[in-house]
Amino acid sequence: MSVEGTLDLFKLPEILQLISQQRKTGILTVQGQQDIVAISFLNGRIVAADALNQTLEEGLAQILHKEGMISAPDLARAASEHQAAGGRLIDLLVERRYIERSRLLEALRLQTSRLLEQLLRWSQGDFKFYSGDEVSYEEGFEPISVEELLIHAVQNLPPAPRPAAAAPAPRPVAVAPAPQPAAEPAPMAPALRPVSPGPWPAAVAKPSPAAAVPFPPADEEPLPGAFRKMKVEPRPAAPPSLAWVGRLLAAALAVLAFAALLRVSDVLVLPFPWQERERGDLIRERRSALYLKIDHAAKTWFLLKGSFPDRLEDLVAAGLLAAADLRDPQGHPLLYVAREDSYTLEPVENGKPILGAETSEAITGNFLLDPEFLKLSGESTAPPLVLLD
Amino acid sequence: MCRRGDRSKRLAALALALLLAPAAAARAEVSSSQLTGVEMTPTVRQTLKQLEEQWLQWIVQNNRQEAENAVEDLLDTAHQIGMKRLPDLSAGAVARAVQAARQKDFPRAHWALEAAERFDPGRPETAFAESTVDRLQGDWPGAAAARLRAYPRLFGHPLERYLWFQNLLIWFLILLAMAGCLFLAVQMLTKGSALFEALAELFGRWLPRPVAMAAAGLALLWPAVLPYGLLWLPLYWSILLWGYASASERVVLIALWVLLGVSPLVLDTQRRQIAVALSPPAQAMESLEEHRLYGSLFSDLGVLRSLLPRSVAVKHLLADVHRSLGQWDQARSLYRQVLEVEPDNTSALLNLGAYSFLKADFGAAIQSFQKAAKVDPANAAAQYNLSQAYSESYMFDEQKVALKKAQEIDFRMVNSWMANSQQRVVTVPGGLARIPEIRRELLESWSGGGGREGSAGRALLFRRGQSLLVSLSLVLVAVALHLARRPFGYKELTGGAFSEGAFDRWGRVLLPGVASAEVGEGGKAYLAILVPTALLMLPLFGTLGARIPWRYDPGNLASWVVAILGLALYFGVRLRQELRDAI
Repeated sequence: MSVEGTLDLFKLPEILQLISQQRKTGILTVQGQQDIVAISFLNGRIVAADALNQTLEEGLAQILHKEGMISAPDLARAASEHQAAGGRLIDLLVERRYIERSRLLEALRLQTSRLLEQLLRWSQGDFKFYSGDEVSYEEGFEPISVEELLIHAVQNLPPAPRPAAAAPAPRPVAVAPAPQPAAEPAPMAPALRPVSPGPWPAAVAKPSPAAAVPFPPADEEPLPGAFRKMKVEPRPAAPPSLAWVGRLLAAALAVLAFAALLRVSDVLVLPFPWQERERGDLIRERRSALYLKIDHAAKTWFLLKGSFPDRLEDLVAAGLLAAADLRDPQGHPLLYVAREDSYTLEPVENGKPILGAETSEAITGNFLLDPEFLKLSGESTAPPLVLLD
Repeated sequence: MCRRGDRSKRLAALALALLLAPAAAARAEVSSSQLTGVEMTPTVRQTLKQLEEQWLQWIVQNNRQEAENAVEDLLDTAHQIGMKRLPDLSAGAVARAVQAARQKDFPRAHWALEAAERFDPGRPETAFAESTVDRLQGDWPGAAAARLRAYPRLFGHPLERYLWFQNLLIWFLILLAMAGCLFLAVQMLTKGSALFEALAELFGRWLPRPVAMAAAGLALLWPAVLPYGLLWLPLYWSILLWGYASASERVVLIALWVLLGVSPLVLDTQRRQIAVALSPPAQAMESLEEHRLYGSLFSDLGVLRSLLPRSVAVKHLLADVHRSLGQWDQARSLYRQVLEVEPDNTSALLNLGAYSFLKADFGAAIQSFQKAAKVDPANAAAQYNLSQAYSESYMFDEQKVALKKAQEIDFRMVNSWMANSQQRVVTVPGGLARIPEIRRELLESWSGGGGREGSAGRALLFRRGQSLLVSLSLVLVAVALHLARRPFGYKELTGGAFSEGAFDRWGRVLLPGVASAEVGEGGKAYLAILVPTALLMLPLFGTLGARIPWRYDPGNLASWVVAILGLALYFGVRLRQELRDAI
């Protein structure tokens, strides 16, 4: 199931806390004016975050460089190798020993934190949470708790915003602001202890007017330095002309299934070409059961009237058969011909009898109906010798 | 012999067996078994004739009291040959009651129904017919009450109950498969456009967009032109959709593929069991267990003997039938045949001893009873019969010892035997007790027995296992395709199955499973589809499997009522939830 709404209604910290408290697994997408961010939750903790306007590789490369984890030449070489070899940059960096995997995961965590901290400044947009059984994330990634994130977000809040007319607020997504190692504690420092959540800081809960409009106008020049101008991309959606394809194929399949159910139900459970014989056996078995039911009805009629009915419909009218019993299991009508002491039944397809499907029944062998059965020849009629069991 | 259409065809060996079987040791005055199924003495035929005549008397009666007397006479006559129920006559009385009700002769209709209940108590047909009669009479509460009384009775009779549960099994298998098809349709609804777009993009690398889209369409639909294309198409789609499915949706897909592989094996076993259950011999045996005498009982027993001519259990059963009919000479012959193979068969020894006792051959009787007592020292009947035989032979000391032993074993039972002045010695229905064994033999003979040994048996095994192999192959192909494609990424699923608007909500309410499929909840999506599909399929319950040979059709009213109410409730709840969520 999914939950959706706008950031006007619920603030992001509230949403994050809700997901955290309920230990949900799934993906939260937040669509702002100029970007979309997807956050993956595993049991209420953040395991991945990705922005539409910045690939994982872009963000990671910048973090690695800025944090001094990899030198610029190495990064350039790795980028060119990545372009040539394809695959994932993360894998390439580790495989080619540019960086240890633990350091890389650390950088990835840092990048995720910063992206989320930027996201927390958004005050407008739509969110939607898709609950699921599992989410994908980098193996070994240490999940980020929402509480931890919010504390850092408060600590890293930028100084009071300047008036919007004077200068735009920092761009929220894409590249994190330049780190200030002296003033800013390591984002994921183990020593950091959670504090009582308390009321939301005013800057988060009630964003400033500048934060409420986080993106500069489209025609504004990009800011120099760490911020880059984001291009506005529409929400990815199947082209309208293709949406009908899924519906059409689904409708065709549903119609096919219902047609099979009504016409050839056995095909639903015996569908394969080599099961022709099994299907035939099944039909024969059902036909035998139907013929037995008709036989019971016809002989009950004979018991009362002394003859078989002229038409099978008489048995339906007498309540001995259902109307559905006048057709064989494949839906073919039954041709019924009654004689003095017997009758025949055969299913008819396109006016022609189906070979091998006919049956003939008679009163022979039935002591209640067959006068020949009990013909006595004048022998002794002494009472039978009976013992009780 | 009764011609039984398909049943006779299945029993193709029967006619041949009847011709080839050695002539039964029938005495000159005994009717041919080829005419009656089992040999009959004139006395028994006279009793049966009497039944036929008394039935005709009942039909023509216009007086309730005389009709009741005719019913008494019929039941007394049936008791003479050890029978307690007359199902054919019960069905006839039910039909007569409905006929009378349609002619506005309601008193007659009601006493006909009473007669039907006495001929074969507890039958659902009688209660359903009573409902019809009450409805025709304008007694709607009575009709409803009778109908409510009828439904529990549907499960009161072994054959009908067995067929009902077998039909439930086949209905459930078809339901699972049908829900599977619809699950796939929902998957296609939610993921089909992404799949199509991915294919169009793939072809778009080399072809102009319009041509790429046409190629994508062809890539999706090409299996339809194959032989059995409409089968391969959904299977092919299920493989293509695998990559877009969540873990739980993949589990459902695997379960559906396995279902396709397993259902032929289940159905084959079930089909053979139903064939046996509906066969004349099985019906005859079931009737004997319940002491039901129907018109072709003896013919059907003849079929049983012809099908399993060497079966000791069948001989033992037929011996008991002859004994209960009072045809002791035929019974003795068969008991002896049983003892040739099973010399320690206690019930056969006891019954053979009883024959000797009744023929006043007390020496032979003592011999048989002594042997039975030796084989089964804890058998009270053996000791009791022995005491009776000693008594007739003036061996009173031995008689006392034997009687004391019998009482030590089962005091209460022995006293009840002694209190029954009509019963000198006790007989044991050991043949009737072997009916389950005979059913198993019949099932084995139906399965092909030795005819499917060797290469034919292996071919059969391969054909049955082929579907399972294909199912497992589908899993492997889907996984391989997914692994090969994963590095290139999947087209992201975007948007819902419906464009935003009024139909967005109604689509989710009216099309179960869509909302769950959109977020990849496979199990929930399948269950959401399964419930309304089951309700929709409920009216088909009686027609998807073997028709139950009711002697008065119960109709399909209950299924329709449950289906309509259930669907209304189901969609009502969904609509309420949707509206509540919207608020």
